[in-house]
Amino acid sequence: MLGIIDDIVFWASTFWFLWLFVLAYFFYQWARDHLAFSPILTMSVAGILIYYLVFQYPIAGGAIFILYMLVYGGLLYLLPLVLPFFKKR
Amino acid sequence: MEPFSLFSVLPLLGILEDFDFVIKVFVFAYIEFYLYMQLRESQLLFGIATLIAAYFLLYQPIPTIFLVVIFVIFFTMGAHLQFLIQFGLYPLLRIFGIELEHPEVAEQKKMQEIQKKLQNGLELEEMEERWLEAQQKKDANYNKKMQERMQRHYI
Repeated sequence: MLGIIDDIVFWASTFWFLWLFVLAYFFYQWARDHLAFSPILTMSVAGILIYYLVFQYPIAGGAIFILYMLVYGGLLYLLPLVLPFFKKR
Repeated sequence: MEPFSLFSVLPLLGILEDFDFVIKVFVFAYIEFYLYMQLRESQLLFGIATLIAAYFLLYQPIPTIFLVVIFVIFFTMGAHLQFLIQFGLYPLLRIFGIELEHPEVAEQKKMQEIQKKLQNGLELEEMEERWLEAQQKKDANYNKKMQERMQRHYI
């Protein structure tokens, strides 16, 4: 009976670690894009960002990632397509 | 109820200190990026500018962070921001009845809607009819003023 709880915990922790990996990759990529001229600086900044925003405060890191994706990923450009359906007639 | 204790707030100060450090790292990375884009041909200048930027960030962090944030939001993301506000925020506020867009743009849109209704043979509401009459009077006044100005100019 408790097997299902084990399964839920297993998949939840798997997805949580995958999510943390995505966050770490995002911060590493950000550091590489902005500091490509210096590999040492890239690794230092990436290390600091990953330590604080993935290990220590993953929720803050996730919020930053989601906000960045919303603003730069172009999802907000879909708003003008969706909003007319909610317009007051 | 427990009495308020500063010790319950102190962990928050530790968190704020960590976030302060992370924000400084972000800001320093952006400054380095822009310095490199501007001074990549002169390594000496790039080094000196880096030291000056680091000094400002360490000893005057608040104005430095504020200026970099303003620069990133308005200069780097300026067009992006303008598009988001005009086509994202304004339509969103219009749903809740708040009209912030330039009045001429809103008037043009309203005129287009009324003309569409007239073309489709639909009846206009009372408010729309009154608005249309007011707009036509305004246009007539404007045309009269322009004509008078033209006459004065040519005489």
